[in-house]
Amino acid sequence: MSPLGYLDAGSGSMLLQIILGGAAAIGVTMKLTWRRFLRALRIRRDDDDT
Amino acid sequence: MVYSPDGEVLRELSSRGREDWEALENARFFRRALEDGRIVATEEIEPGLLRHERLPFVSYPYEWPFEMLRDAALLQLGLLDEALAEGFVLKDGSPYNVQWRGSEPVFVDVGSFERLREGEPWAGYRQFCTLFLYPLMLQAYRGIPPQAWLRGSLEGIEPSEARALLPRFRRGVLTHVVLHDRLEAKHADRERDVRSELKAAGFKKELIQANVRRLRKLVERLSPKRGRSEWAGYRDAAPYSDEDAARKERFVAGSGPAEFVWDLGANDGRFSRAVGAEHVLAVDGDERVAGELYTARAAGPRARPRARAPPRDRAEPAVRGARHLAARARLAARDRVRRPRRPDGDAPAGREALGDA
Repeated sequence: MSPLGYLDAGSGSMLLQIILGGAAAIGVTMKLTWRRFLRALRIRRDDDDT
Repeated sequence: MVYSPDGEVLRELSSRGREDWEALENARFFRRALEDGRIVATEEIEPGLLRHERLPFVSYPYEWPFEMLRDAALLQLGLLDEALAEGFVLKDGSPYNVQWRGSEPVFVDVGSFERLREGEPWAGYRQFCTLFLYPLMLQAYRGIPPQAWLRGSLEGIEPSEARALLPRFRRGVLTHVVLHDRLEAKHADRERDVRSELKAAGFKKELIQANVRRLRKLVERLSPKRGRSEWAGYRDAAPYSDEDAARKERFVAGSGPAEFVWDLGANDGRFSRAVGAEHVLAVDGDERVAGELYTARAAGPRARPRARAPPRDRAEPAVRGARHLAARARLAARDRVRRPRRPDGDAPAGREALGDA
Protein backbone atom coordinates (compact mmCIF):
# COMPACT_ATOMS: atom_id res chain seq x y z
CA MET A 1 0.00 0.00 0.00
CA SER A 2 1.49 3.30 -1.01
CA PRO A 3 2.18 5.93 1.63
CA LEU A 4 0.13 9.09 1.53
CA GLY A 5 2.23 11.84 -0.02
CA TYR A 6 2.71 15.29 1.44
CA LEU A 7 0.03 16.54 -0.88
CA ASP A 8 -3.71 16.31 -0.47
CA ALA A 9 -4.49 14.45 -3.66
CA GLY A 10 -8.21 14.77 -3.05
CA SER A 11 -10.40 11.69 -3.29
CA GLY A 12 -12.82 13.45 -5.60
CA SER A 13 -9.90 14.51 -7.77
CA MET A 14 -8.67 10.97 -8.03
CA LEU A 15 -12.09 9.69 -9.03
CA LEU A 16 -12.46 12.45 -11.58
CA GLN A 17 -9.37 11.13 -13.32
CA ILE A 18 -11.33 8.06 -14.32
CA ILE A 19 -13.92 10.15 -16.11
CA LEU A 20 -11.25 12.26 -17.69
CA GLY A 21 -9.45 9.15 -18.83
CA GLY A 22 -12.19 8.77 -21.41
CA ALA A 23 -12.68 5.52 -23.26
CA ALA A 24 -9.72 3.92 -21.52
CA ALA A 25 -11.66 4.37 -18.35
CA ILE A 26 -14.74 2.40 -19.20
CA GLY A 27 -13.20 -0.86 -18.10
CA VAL A 28 -11.97 0.60 -14.85
CA THR A 29 -15.30 2.24 -14.07
CA MET A 30 -17.21 -0.94 -14.70
CA LYS A 31 -14.96 -2.90 -12.42
CA LEU A 32 -15.22 -0.27 -9.68
CA THR A 33 -18.98 -0.11 -9.89
CA TRP A 34 -19.32 -3.88 -10.03
CA ARG A 35 -17.23 -4.36 -6.92
CA ARG A 36 -19.22 -1.73 -5.06
CA PHE A 37 -22.41 -3.37 -6.17
CA LEU A 38 -21.26 -6.72 -4.94
CA ARG A 39 -20.16 -5.21 -1.65
CA ALA A 40 -23.48 -3.51 -1.24
CA LEU A 41 -25.20 -6.83 -1.74
CA ARG A 42 -22.71 -8.28 0.73
CA ILE A 43 -21.59 -10.87 -1.79
CA ARG A 44 -18.09 -9.42 -1.38
CA ARG A 45 -16.63 -8.42 1.94
CA ASP A 46 -14.97 -5.02 2.36
CA ASP A 47 -11.48 -6.41 2.72
CA ASP A 48 -11.85 -8.73 -0.21
CA ASP A 49 -9.96 -6.67 -2.76
CA THR A 50 -7.97 -9.07 -4.89
CA MET B 1 16.25 19.05 1.64
CA VAL B 2 17.74 21.80 -0.49
CA TYR B 3 20.42 24.15 0.76
CA SER B 4 23.09 26.37 -0.68
CA PRO B 5 26.30 27.02 1.20
CA ASP B 6 28.88 28.85 -0.90
CA GLY B 7 26.29 29.72 -3.48
CA GLU B 8 25.76 26.14 -4.61
CA VAL B 9 22.36 24.56 -4.82
CA LEU B 10 22.55 21.12 -3.30
CA ARG B 11 19.92 18.54 -2.63
CA GLU B 12 20.30 15.64 -0.27
CA LEU B 13 18.21 12.61 -1.16
CA SER B 14 16.37 10.46 1.33
CA SER B 15 16.78 6.73 0.94
CA ARG B 16 13.53 6.55 -0.99
CA GLY B 17 14.61 9.51 -2.99
CA ARG B 18 17.85 7.77 -3.87
CA GLU B 19 16.00 4.81 -5.31
CA ASP B 20 13.84 7.08 -7.41
CA TRP B 21 16.91 9.03 -8.52
CA GLU B 22 18.78 5.92 -9.55
CA ALA B 23 15.89 4.96 -11.78
CA LEU B 24 15.39 8.51 -13.00
CA GLU B 25 18.91 9.34 -14.07
CA ASN B 26 18.85 6.49 -16.54
CA ALA B 27 15.48 7.33 -17.98
CA ARG B 28 15.62 8.50 -21.58
CA PHE B 29 13.12 11.29 -21.17
CA PHE B 30 15.10 12.66 -18.24
CA ARG B 31 18.38 12.71 -20.10
CA ARG B 32 16.72 14.35 -23.08
CA ALA B 33 15.13 17.02 -20.95
CA LEU B 34 18.42 17.70 -19.16
CA GLU B 35 20.15 18.07 -22.47
CA ASP B 36 17.73 20.53 -23.96
CA GLY B 37 17.53 22.47 -20.76
CA ARG B 38 13.92 21.86 -19.83
CA ILE B 39 15.06 20.34 -16.56
CA VAL B 40 17.60 22.20 -14.45
CA ALA B 41 21.13 20.86 -14.87
CA THR B 42 21.70 18.24 -12.20
CA GLU B 43 24.64 16.06 -11.25
CA GLU B 44 25.25 13.63 -8.46
CA ILE B 45 28.42 14.85 -6.80
CA GLU B 46 28.39 12.24 -4.04
CA PRO B 47 26.11 9.28 -3.52
CA GLY B 48 22.81 10.74 -2.46
CA LEU B 49 23.87 14.35 -2.99
CA LEU B 50 22.85 16.27 -6.07
CA ARG B 51 24.05 19.62 -7.28
CA HIS B 52 21.82 21.78 -9.41
CA GLU B 53 22.61 24.55 -11.82
CA ARG B 54 22.15 27.88 -10.16
CA LEU B 55 19.64 30.07 -11.93
CA PRO B 56 20.28 33.80 -11.84
CA PHE B 57 16.97 34.77 -10.30
CA VAL B 58 14.15 33.10 -8.42
CA SER B 59 10.62 34.30 -9.02
CA TYR B 60 7.17 33.16 -8.05
CA PRO B 61 4.05 32.36 -10.06
CA TYR B 62 2.20 35.40 -8.77
CA GLU B 63 4.88 37.56 -10.35
CA TRP B 64 4.41 36.15 -13.84
CA PRO B 65 2.08 37.38 -16.58
CA PHE B 66 -0.46 34.96 -18.04
CA GLU B 67 1.74 33.68 -20.86
CA MET B 68 4.49 32.66 -18.48
CA LEU B 69 2.11 30.75 -16.22
CA ARG B 70 0.68 29.02 -19.27
CA ASP B 71 4.10 28.04 -20.61
CA ALA B 72 5.09 26.75 -17.19
CA ALA B 73 1.93 24.62 -17.20
CA LEU B 74 2.74 23.28 -20.64
CA LEU B 75 6.26 22.42 -19.56
CA GLN B 76 4.93 20.54 -16.56
CA LEU B 77 2.37 18.64 -18.64
CA GLY B 78 4.92 17.86 -21.35
CA LEU B 79 7.40 16.42 -18.89
CA LEU B 80 4.67 14.46 -17.17
CA ASP B 81 3.53 12.96 -20.48
CA GLU B 82 7.07 11.85 -21.32
CA ALA B 83 7.68 10.58 -17.82
CA LEU B 84 4.54 8.45 -17.80
CA ALA B 85 5.63 6.64 -20.94
CA GLU B 86 8.67 5.39 -19.02
CA GLY B 87 6.90 4.58 -15.78
CA PHE B 88 7.49 7.81 -13.88
CA VAL B 89 5.13 10.42 -12.55
CA LEU B 90 5.36 13.90 -11.11
CA LYS B 91 4.27 13.92 -7.48
CA ASP B 92 2.76 17.36 -7.67
CA GLY B 93 1.40 19.94 -10.06
CA SER B 94 2.82 23.16 -8.77
CA PRO B 95 4.14 26.18 -10.66
CA TYR B 96 6.61 26.64 -7.82
CA ASN B 97 8.49 23.77 -9.48
CA VAL B 98 9.21 25.94 -12.48
CA GLN B 99 11.81 28.67 -12.73
CA TRP B 100 13.19 30.61 -15.65
CA ARG B 101 16.38 30.87 -17.59
CA GLY B 102 15.83 34.08 -19.48
CA SER B 103 12.48 33.57 -21.15
CA GLU B 104 12.61 29.80 -21.00
CA PRO B 105 10.81 27.80 -18.37
CA VAL B 106 12.97 25.31 -16.50
CA PHE B 107 11.68 22.55 -14.27
CA VAL B 108 13.68 22.67 -11.07
CA ASP B 109 12.16 20.13 -8.71
CA VAL B 110 13.89 16.95 -9.71
CA GLY B 111 12.72 15.36 -6.46
CA SER B 112 9.19 15.61 -7.74
CA PHE B 113 9.74 12.71 -10.12
CA GLU B 114 9.03 9.30 -8.73
CA ARG B 115 8.41 5.87 -10.09
CA LEU B 116 4.77 5.38 -10.84
CA ARG B 117 3.14 2.81 -8.63
CA GLU B 118 0.66 0.59 -10.32
CA GLY B 119 -2.97 1.53 -9.91
CA GLU B 120 -2.17 5.00 -8.60
CA PRO B 121 -3.79 8.09 -10.07
CA TRP B 122 -1.89 11.35 -10.50
CA ALA B 123 -1.76 12.85 -7.01
CA GLY B 124 -0.75 16.23 -8.41
CA TYR B 125 -3.86 16.73 -10.53
CA ARG B 126 -5.80 18.65 -7.90
CA GLN B 127 -2.86 20.96 -7.29
CA PHE B 128 -2.46 21.45 -11.02
CA CYS B 129 -6.03 22.66 -11.12
CA THR B 130 -5.80 25.01 -8.16
CA LEU B 131 -2.45 26.55 -9.02
CA PHE B 132 -2.29 26.42 -12.80
CA LEU B 133 -5.58 25.70 -14.51
CA TYR B 134 -8.06 27.76 -12.50
CA PRO B 135 -5.86 30.89 -12.41
CA LEU B 136 -5.40 30.64 -16.17
CA MET B 137 -9.11 30.11 -16.71
CA LEU B 138 -9.94 33.02 -14.46
CA GLN B 139 -8.06 35.30 -16.76
CA ALA B 140 -9.01 33.60 -20.02
CA TYR B 141 -12.73 33.36 -19.28
CA ARG B 142 -13.35 36.25 -16.93
CA GLY B 143 -10.54 38.65 -17.71
CA ILE B 144 -9.45 38.67 -14.07
CA PRO B 145 -5.69 38.49 -13.65
CA PRO B 146 -5.00 35.91 -10.93
CA GLN B 147 -1.75 37.25 -9.49
CA ALA B 148 -3.27 38.99 -6.49
CA TRP B 149 -5.18 35.82 -5.65
CA LEU B 150 -2.08 33.65 -5.92
CA ARG B 151 -0.17 36.02 -3.67
CA GLY B 152 -2.80 35.65 -0.99
CA SER B 153 -3.42 31.95 -1.34
CA LEU B 154 -0.37 29.76 -1.68
CA GLU B 155 -2.49 26.78 -2.61
CA GLY B 156 -4.31 28.64 -5.35
CA ILE B 157 -8.00 28.72 -6.17
CA GLU B 158 -10.18 25.99 -4.67
CA PRO B 159 -12.57 24.02 -6.91
CA SER B 160 -15.60 25.45 -5.12
CA GLU B 161 -14.32 28.98 -5.63
CA ALA B 162 -13.52 28.36 -9.27
CA ARG B 163 -16.96 26.93 -9.76
CA ALA B 164 -18.55 30.05 -8.36
CA LEU B 165 -16.55 32.27 -10.70
CA LEU B 166 -16.15 30.51 -14.01
CA PRO B 167 -18.74 30.23 -16.78
CA ARG B 168 -19.81 26.60 -16.89
CA PHE B 169 -19.96 26.14 -20.64
CA ARG B 170 -16.53 27.34 -21.53
CA ARG B 171 -14.02 24.74 -22.55
CA GLY B 172 -12.88 22.52 -19.70
CA VAL B 173 -15.08 24.00 -17.02
CA LEU B 174 -17.75 21.32 -16.76
CA THR B 175 -15.19 18.59 -16.11
CA HIS B 176 -12.22 20.19 -14.38
CA VAL B 177 -14.25 22.66 -12.33
CA VAL B 178 -17.90 21.75 -11.84
CA LEU B 179 -17.62 17.98 -11.77
CA HIS B 180 -14.41 18.27 -9.80
CA ASP B 181 -16.11 20.31 -7.11
CA ARG B 182 -19.08 17.96 -6.91
CA LEU B 183 -16.95 14.86 -6.58
CA GLU B 184 -14.77 16.53 -4.02
CA ALA B 185 -17.72 17.43 -1.87
CA LYS B 186 -19.17 13.97 -2.18
CA HIS B 187 -16.03 12.04 -1.36
CA ALA B 188 -14.30 14.19 1.20
CA ASP B 189 -12.25 12.31 3.84
CA ARG B 190 -12.27 9.11 1.86
CA GLU B 191 -8.79 9.37 0.44
CA ARG B 192 -7.44 6.08 1.66
CA ASP B 193 -10.55 4.19 0.60
CA VAL B 194 -10.63 5.73 -2.82
CA ARG B 195 -6.98 4.97 -3.43
CA SER B 196 -7.41 1.30 -2.67
CA GLU B 197 -10.62 1.13 -4.68
CA LEU B 198 -8.93 2.60 -7.70
CA LYS B 199 -6.00 0.27 -7.36
CA ALA B 200 -8.23 -2.77 -7.03
CA ALA B 201 -10.21 -1.67 -10.06
CA GLY B 202 -7.02 -1.57 -12.08
CA PHE B 203 -6.55 2.14 -12.58
CA LYS B 204 -3.95 2.45 -15.31
CA LYS B 205 -1.43 5.03 -16.28
CA GLU B 206 -3.13 5.33 -19.66
CA LEU B 207 -5.91 7.17 -17.87
CA ILE B 208 -3.44 9.70 -16.56
CA GLN B 209 -1.90 10.04 -19.99
CA ALA B 210 -5.28 10.66 -21.57
CA ASN B 211 -6.06 13.33 -19.00
CA VAL B 212 -2.67 14.98 -19.36
CA ARG B 213 -3.07 15.20 -23.12
CA ARG B 214 -6.52 16.70 -22.82
CA LEU B 215 -5.18 19.23 -20.34
CA ARG B 216 -2.40 20.14 -22.73
CA LYS B 217 -4.79 20.86 -25.55
CA LEU B 218 -6.97 22.85 -23.22
CA VAL B 219 -4.15 24.94 -21.80
CA GLU B 220 -2.61 25.56 -25.21
CA ARG B 221 -5.81 27.20 -26.33
CA LEU B 222 -6.23 29.48 -23.34
CA SER B 223 -5.42 33.07 -24.09
CA PRO B 224 -5.57 36.06 -21.79
CA LYS B 225 -8.57 38.33 -21.84
CA ARG B 226 -7.36 41.78 -21.05
CA GLY B 227 -9.11 45.07 -20.74
CA ARG B 228 -7.75 48.40 -21.72
CA SER B 229 -4.20 48.73 -20.60
CA GLU B 230 -2.89 52.00 -19.27
CA TRP B 231 0.60 51.38 -20.41
CA ALA B 232 0.33 49.37 -23.59
CA GLY B 233 0.63 52.30 -25.93
CA TYR B 234 3.11 54.12 -23.77
CA ARG B 235 5.98 54.06 -26.16
CA ASP B 236 4.02 55.87 -28.83
CA ALA B 237 2.49 58.34 -26.43
CA ALA B 238 5.57 58.73 -24.24
CA PRO B 239 6.77 62.14 -23.12
CA TYR B 240 10.19 61.44 -24.62
CA SER B 241 10.97 62.84 -28.00
CA ASP B 242 12.74 60.42 -30.33
CA GLU B 243 15.96 62.25 -29.65
CA ASP B 244 15.57 62.02 -25.89
CA ALA B 245 14.74 58.37 -26.13
CA ALA B 246 17.82 57.71 -28.22
CA ARG B 247 19.91 59.64 -25.75
CA LYS B 248 18.50 57.62 -22.89
CA GLU B 249 19.24 54.44 -24.78
CA ARG B 250 22.84 55.46 -25.28
CA PHE B 251 23.15 56.35 -21.61
CA VAL B 252 21.77 52.99 -20.59
CA ALA B 253 24.02 51.13 -23.02
CA GLY B 254 27.02 53.02 -21.75
CA SER B 255 26.36 52.38 -18.10
CA GLY B 256 27.33 48.71 -18.23
CA PRO B 257 28.80 46.20 -18.05
CA ALA B 258 26.95 44.60 -15.19
CA GLU B 259 26.17 41.12 -14.04
CA PHE B 260 22.53 41.56 -13.21
CA VAL B 261 20.31 44.53 -13.97
CA TRP B 262 16.74 45.22 -12.94
CA ASP B 263 14.72 47.36 -15.33
CA LEU B 264 11.84 48.62 -13.21
CA GLY B 265 9.06 49.74 -15.50
CA ALA B 266 10.51 47.95 -18.51
CA ASN B 267 7.44 48.39 -20.73
CA ASP B 268 8.37 47.15 -24.21
CA GLY B 269 11.89 46.23 -23.11
CA ARG B 270 13.70 48.74 -25.24
CA PHE B 271 16.10 49.75 -22.49
CA SER B 272 16.35 46.20 -21.10
CA ARG B 273 17.78 45.21 -24.44
CA ALA B 274 20.10 48.17 -24.60
CA VAL B 275 21.86 47.61 -21.31
CA GLY B 276 25.08 45.59 -21.39
CA ALA B 277 24.40 42.97 -18.76
CA GLU B 278 24.66 39.25 -18.39
CA HIS B 279 21.14 39.07 -17.00
CA VAL B 280 18.34 41.56 -17.12
CA LEU B 281 15.19 41.36 -15.08
CA ALA B 282 12.43 43.28 -16.80
CA VAL B 283 9.74 44.29 -14.36
CA ASP B 284 6.49 46.05 -15.11
CA GLY B 285 3.39 46.66 -13.06
CA ASP B 286 1.16 46.30 -16.10
CA GLU B 287 0.34 42.66 -16.69
CA ARG B 288 -0.48 43.04 -20.37
CA VAL B 289 2.75 44.85 -21.10
CA ALA B 290 4.77 42.22 -19.27
CA GLY B 291 2.94 39.45 -21.14
CA GLU B 292 3.65 41.04 -24.51
CA LEU B 293 7.29 41.52 -23.71
CA TYR B 294 7.59 37.90 -22.63
CA THR B 295 5.91 36.71 -25.83
CA ALA B 296 8.29 38.76 -27.92
CA ARG B 297 11.27 37.37 -26.02
CA ALA B 298 10.02 33.79 -26.03
CA ALA B 299 9.84 33.93 -29.79
CA GLY B 300 13.53 34.81 -29.97
CA PRO B 301 16.70 32.71 -29.82
CA ARG B 302 16.56 30.13 -27.06
CA ALA B 303 18.88 30.11 -24.09
CA ARG B 304 20.87 26.96 -23.46
CA PRO B 305 21.97 25.58 -20.11
CA ARG B 306 25.53 26.47 -19.34
CA ALA B 307 28.10 25.07 -16.97
CA ARG B 308 30.29 28.14 -17.28
CA ALA B 309 29.45 31.81 -17.29
CA PRO B 310 27.91 33.00 -20.56
CA PRO B 311 29.63 35.53 -22.84
CA ARG B 312 29.22 38.98 -21.39
CA ASP B 313 27.64 40.71 -24.34
CA ARG B 314 24.42 38.73 -24.32
CA ALA B 315 21.51 40.31 -22.53
CA GLU B 316 18.48 38.15 -21.78
CA PRO B 317 15.63 40.13 -20.37
CA ALA B 318 13.62 37.89 -18.11
CA VAL B 319 10.13 39.22 -17.76
CA ARG B 320 8.09 39.59 -14.62
CA GLY B 321 4.97 41.60 -14.15
CA ALA B 322 4.14 42.78 -10.69
CA ARG B 323 4.43 45.80 -8.48
CA HIS B 324 5.32 43.26 -5.86
CA LEU B 325 8.79 43.15 -7.33
CA ALA B 326 9.47 46.71 -6.28
CA ALA B 327 9.10 45.44 -2.74
CA ARG B 328 11.47 42.58 -3.50
CA ALA B 329 13.95 45.07 -4.87
CA ARG B 330 13.91 46.87 -1.55
CA LEU B 331 14.38 43.61 0.29
CA ALA B 332 17.23 42.58 -1.99
CA ALA B 333 18.95 45.90 -1.46
CA ARG B 334 18.59 45.47 2.26
CA ASP B 335 20.02 41.94 2.06
CA ARG B 336 23.02 43.21 0.13
CA VAL B 337 23.74 45.69 2.87
CA ARG B 338 23.72 42.91 5.41
CA ARG B 339 25.75 40.47 3.35
CA PRO B 340 28.72 42.17 1.71
CA ARG B 341 29.80 40.97 -1.70
CA ARG B 342 32.54 38.38 -1.76
CA PRO B 343 35.94 39.41 -3.07
CA ASP B 344 35.58 37.16 -6.13
CA GLY B 345 32.50 39.03 -7.24
CA ASP B 346 29.86 36.37 -6.70
CA ALA B 347 26.49 37.68 -5.75
CA PRO B 348 25.51 36.72 -2.21
CA ALA B 349 22.96 33.96 -1.75
CA GLY B 350 19.67 35.75 -1.27
CA ARG B 351 16.26 34.37 -0.44
CA GLU B 352 16.74 31.77 -3.08
CA ALA B 353 16.52 28.42 -1.36
CA LEU B 354 14.34 26.21 -3.49
CA GLY B 355 12.42 24.71 -0.64
CA ASP B 356 10.55 21.44 -0.79
CA ALA B 357 6.92 22.45 -0.92
